[in-house]
Amino acid sequence: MAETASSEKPPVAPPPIQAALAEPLPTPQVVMATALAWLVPGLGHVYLKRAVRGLIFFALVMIALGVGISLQGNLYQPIRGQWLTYLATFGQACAGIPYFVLRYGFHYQGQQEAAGYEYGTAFLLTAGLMNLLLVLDARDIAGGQKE
Amino acid sequence: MLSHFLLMVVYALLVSLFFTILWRRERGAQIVLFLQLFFGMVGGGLIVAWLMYPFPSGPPAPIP
Repeated sequence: MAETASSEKPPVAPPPIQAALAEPLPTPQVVMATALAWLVPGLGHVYLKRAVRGLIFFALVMIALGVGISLQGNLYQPIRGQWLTYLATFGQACAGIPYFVLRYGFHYQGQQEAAGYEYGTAFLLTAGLMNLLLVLDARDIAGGQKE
Repeated sequence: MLSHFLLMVVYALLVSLFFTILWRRERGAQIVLFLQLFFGMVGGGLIVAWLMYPFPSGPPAPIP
């Protein structure tokens, strides 16, 4: 009787990472979370009921944009024959609506003669790339691949 | 606002906060990662600047 009890294997607990993952949302909600995350920085996380983190992300991206604008950094546009401008434009356009408001609403371009031009460009690029990471993060959370 | 060092610190602060909140959930782990990222970027920038000091990139700036 004792041998039988000792030969039984204890129940195996699931790995903690698997337990922490949420159920994947339906595809339309995954698409919605991804699209909202791109359009407005942090909105994807707010949509996924992570409002505090979403607001903090929104503030960080907008501060980076604001510093970049105050330094008169370059807002890239594609230039034929210069393929790096396409890449840089994509990076900045990942900021979503703020990029298009700056470009088409305020016709902002930056000022190459400004002392902070290069620094401002780095801040504007960073804002776009941070939001790109937020888009991927929101998609992973909605798809159940991240808690 | 146009101090090179101040801009570097502001940049490091923004990026460190961003990745800390993106990658960590627990408060203790967040503080550790933030300090690693922030001082890694600021300290790394200072070390690279110090290493580049003997190699100026152009003619000396005119004296106003």
